Amino acid sequence: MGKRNREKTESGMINNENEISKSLKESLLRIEEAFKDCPDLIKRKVFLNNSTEGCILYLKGIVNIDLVQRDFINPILSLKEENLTDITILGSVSASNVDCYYDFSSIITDILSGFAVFLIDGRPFAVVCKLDKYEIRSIQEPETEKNVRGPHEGFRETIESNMATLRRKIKNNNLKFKLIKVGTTMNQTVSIAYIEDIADMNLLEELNNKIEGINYDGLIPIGYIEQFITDFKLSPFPQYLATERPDKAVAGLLEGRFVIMQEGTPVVLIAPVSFFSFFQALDDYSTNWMAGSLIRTIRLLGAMLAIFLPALYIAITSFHYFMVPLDLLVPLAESRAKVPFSPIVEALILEVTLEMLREASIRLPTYIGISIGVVGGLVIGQAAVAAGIVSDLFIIIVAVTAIASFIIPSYDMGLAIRFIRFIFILSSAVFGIVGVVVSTIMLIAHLVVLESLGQPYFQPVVPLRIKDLKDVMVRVPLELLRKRPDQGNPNNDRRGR
Amino acid sequence: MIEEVGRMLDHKHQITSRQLFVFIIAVQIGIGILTLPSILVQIAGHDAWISIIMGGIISSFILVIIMLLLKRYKDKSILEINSVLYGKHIGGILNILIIVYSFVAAILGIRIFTNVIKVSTLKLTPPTVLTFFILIPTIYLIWYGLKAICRFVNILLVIYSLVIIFLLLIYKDFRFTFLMPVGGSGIKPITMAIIPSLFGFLGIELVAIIYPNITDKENAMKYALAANLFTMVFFLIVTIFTTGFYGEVMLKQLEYPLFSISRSYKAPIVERIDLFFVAFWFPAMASSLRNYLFSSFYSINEVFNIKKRGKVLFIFYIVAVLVSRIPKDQAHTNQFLEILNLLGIGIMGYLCISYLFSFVNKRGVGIK
Amino acid sequence: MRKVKKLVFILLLTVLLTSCWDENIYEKVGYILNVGIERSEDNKMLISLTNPVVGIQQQGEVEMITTTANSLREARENGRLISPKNLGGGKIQHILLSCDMAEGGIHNLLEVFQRDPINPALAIIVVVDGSPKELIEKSLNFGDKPRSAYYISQLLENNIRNGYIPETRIYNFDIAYFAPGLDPITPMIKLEPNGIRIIGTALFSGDKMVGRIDTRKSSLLLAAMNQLRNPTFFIDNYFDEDLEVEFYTAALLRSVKRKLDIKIVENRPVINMELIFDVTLDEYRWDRTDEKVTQMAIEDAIVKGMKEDYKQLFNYMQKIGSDPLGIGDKVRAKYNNYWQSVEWNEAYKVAEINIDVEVVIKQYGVIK
Repeated sequence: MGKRNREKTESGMINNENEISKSLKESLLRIEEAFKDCPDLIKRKVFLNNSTEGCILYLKGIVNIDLVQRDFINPILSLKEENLTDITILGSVSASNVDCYYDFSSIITDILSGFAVFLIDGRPFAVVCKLDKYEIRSIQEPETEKNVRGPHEGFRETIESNMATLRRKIKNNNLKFKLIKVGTTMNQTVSIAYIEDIADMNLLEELNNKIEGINYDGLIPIGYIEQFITDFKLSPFPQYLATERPDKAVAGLLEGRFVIMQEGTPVVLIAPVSFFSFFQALDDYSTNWMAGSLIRTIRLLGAMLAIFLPALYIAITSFHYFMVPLDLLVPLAESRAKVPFSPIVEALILEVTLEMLREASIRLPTYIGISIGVVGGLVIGQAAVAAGIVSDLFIIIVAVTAIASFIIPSYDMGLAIRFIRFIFILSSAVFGIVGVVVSTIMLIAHLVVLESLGQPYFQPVVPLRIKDLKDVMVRVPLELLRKRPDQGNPNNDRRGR
Repeated sequence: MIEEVGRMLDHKHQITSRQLFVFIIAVQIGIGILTLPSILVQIAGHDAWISIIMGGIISSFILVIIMLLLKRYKDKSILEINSVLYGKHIGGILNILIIVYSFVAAILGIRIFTNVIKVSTLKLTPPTVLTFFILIPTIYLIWYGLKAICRFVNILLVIYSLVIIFLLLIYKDFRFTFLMPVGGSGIKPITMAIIPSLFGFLGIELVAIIYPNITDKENAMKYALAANLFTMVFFLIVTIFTTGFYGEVMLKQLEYPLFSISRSYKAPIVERIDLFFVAFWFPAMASSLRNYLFSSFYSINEVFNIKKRGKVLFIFYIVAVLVSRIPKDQAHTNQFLEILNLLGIGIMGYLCISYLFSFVNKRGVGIK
Repeated sequence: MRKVKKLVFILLLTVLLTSCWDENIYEKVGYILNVGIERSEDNKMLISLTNPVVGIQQQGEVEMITTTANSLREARENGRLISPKNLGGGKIQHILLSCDMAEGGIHNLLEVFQRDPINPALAIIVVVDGSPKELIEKSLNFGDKPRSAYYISQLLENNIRNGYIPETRIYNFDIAYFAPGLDPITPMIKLEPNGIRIIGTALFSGDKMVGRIDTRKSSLLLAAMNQLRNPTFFIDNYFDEDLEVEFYTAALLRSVKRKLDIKIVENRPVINMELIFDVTLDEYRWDRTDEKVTQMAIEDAIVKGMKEDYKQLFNYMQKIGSDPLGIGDKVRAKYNNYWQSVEWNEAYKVAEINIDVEVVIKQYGVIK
């Protein structure tokens, strides 16, 4: 705080316009001008020692007025005339978060950020005190990222409490937070958390520059930041891992990654991440390593099924009939025989319906959501087959695909895979297996080219890092995971002493 | 996107020696191996594998000479060496020759790739459309540069091992007697077959173009030789297997023995796996031609100092597709290929002569 | 670059909007599963094709098309003129040839399966004793059997697994035909009143069928070829005078070790083959089979029977000039000079083939 204050003070010296006038009246006029039509601004005039006029300004609802009264105003009011210099005031106020400004613009931003500001007639400075009181919700487990054996807490909307959560978990002075202001209108705080002796400072610099370079009026969810700072905007893949779980953020920090937190959203971003980070869940680490490996393999398999299965079905049924096994030949043909559409149309009908169903069920409250499930199950499962619009084998494929894409822990990655699936379907409908192969090559080429914060996205596989492969398909016992992965470019890669 | 990416592309061509290893493998294995066993067996009979070993040894020697030549000039590619060694005009002509060679090699690669797809899966699809489609990933990777290409071709190592595993699956139809008597074809046919077996090793000359981009040049020679050896072993395995499986008389009749062999395995459940095999081999073929295409594009950029890469690449893409349709048919393509292969041997020879010539004309030697 | 993107986009869009050239929608294809070929008058072949009829009401129905044609492809095209479905040969399971076709040579007839990669090289070649057309026709109406092609295919597969007939797919046939000193063999079937029966193996010389053997000898031939599966061998046991029934011993042939030694003695090949069978005694009579003496007696009986069979078999094969064992191939590999100096077909007929059999009972069941 002190450092920031000094900087502000110096800049205030240079610019006279920005200085606080000695006359309280003048200052109040300027503030009133700035806060025109802001009924939530409270101005309360007081007299110090019955002579000197002072004014306390704050915004209603975000300042804890009781504490301000007790710890900020009362001590000042009891000061003698000659003690009203900046140093003495700062020394005698009992509230902890007190500061002293000489420039005008800081007052405005501070009032907006929940400070109580005290102006004294005849003094060219303002005393500010942060005793804010936001209404925040209680700690809950994130709905979209449940787990079994980890902690059941999630981040919340205020950045302070989120920073405190991290601090409570990592009791180490090397955990640093770098604060950045973003949003030309909204004036939001963004904080980059990192562990100083692990993280790569060059990456921090790069990330910092990227976030500071954002020129936009307001960043509502953290997805805005994500989109502004991604290097590959034409990629369907998420290049930053979004999570609401503090434990995931801590795990990231320990691997030398950065956690980007933003005021007003419980979601934080972890960067740099690899493709495979999106398939890891904390439960893989908290349970037995064999079971964890199995589950993780199934997740990757699920992702592959979700991408390839419908495309292969289309390629085989509309181009390469001879690839169907002899025993499946007739049953498949029988199920297709009553369908009037070509496989691609059939596939699009069903896939689009499924996506609509899924989209509908996100927005609807749970009790209506159940009826959506019934409608979907009946319409798709029974009626569509009976009416001869789709074949029952394809229903199974779509169902398997849907289940496979549900098991991906990250919502963003799930979205990416759903999107890619359509590309695969379309190209296989035109070129058959060649379409599937070319799309696969394109997919791999894209993953290989892609970078997350300048680090290769497909990391432990290409470029090959054999020691990091221990944590991709399988998750070896923790004793063998003594090295941090290369992805975050960590300074010291030994975990533990 | 271009401005965004531009900053990151500063090092987009820089590769390590290990990536050079996969680069060389990817050029060599891919298209050549499809026809190689059949071509060699036509000359050397069932002793084709001996020719491959000899071809491998000779190509390794050529590779050593090429690497020595490049080492003499430190950070220069053959394009720069040419103008230093032979003067501006002759050097310029030689540069254009290299560009034309690598471009034509890529074009023929594209043509053969399209032919294989047309023969094996899509008979009726218009070839031009098909070529446009199958080149999309190639152009994408070329745009992102040598590093991306080399990272991608790592995937091929998986494909090669899958092919080897597949060959092991059909071991029960393998007859050792088809390979015997060793040396029975006579010395003359075996030595005659060395030249066509060298065609399979073509691709090492591309090292001369991309050499300045290698970051750890002290290991480059080691890895390049290892790559050549890897290719030789792979060729050897495939040739021995196809000969031992089909016998020389039948092998002579086959156009693409490696594909035919995939049609001869009855897999459990799916029965036929030939389509999957072909599908798996597509990336290998595409990588082979991609490396040629990249080399010619890179050389054009280097020689003509091109600023608007995007536009040039797009024109390059269209030209490549259209030019690849020039050969009239499969037989015509093969004729072109024969000429090209000889040209490739010529380029190798010319690189070796350049090494000798660099002792005569010492201008620019060893200067960074 | 933006223009470029637009162009690419438009190009992709046109590709998507135009119809798919190679599209061959699954349910509109009629997959030929059976092919029957026999001679017909006026220099043509009578070719019968079947494909399963698929529909909601049609359970187990099969469409059969019989046409005269001059080539297999013509037959398929003729079939397309009749059938509601677009007939395709990609799933052909077996090719049924009449004896007169097989005797005339079938090598060029089956070439289409290797030339067009959509056709399977995995179809089984079967020689039919009688008319394939009649066999297929009758097989449509066996009430207690599955659909014709499924029935034949399961029948063949099971008997191949049991080791009574060779597994001869098109590629096996072609390899054996092309290889000098190696002849193909194929399974043989025959139509019976209420089913189809495996009757043994057809022996070929080159691509012409020259003889036939029964299943008992087929399984022994396969053992000599080192392709023993799991056939059961029967040998006389005792004659029950009250019942007036001759009882047989049954022995399951589990595995065989083959030692093959080929020499040239006085310009004549001498082949010494030793076969050591591991057998399980499956059926005998109440006796002390755990004792060495009894086992020896059984083993001797089996050896005697086998030797007799082998002698007949090889004499027959030499007489008709069929060499499925590849003795010629081995002579070529080992004694190449000799091979080049003689006409193998003649040399084979006069070769001396000695067969020594040894049988070891490894298990005798759960009674002593």
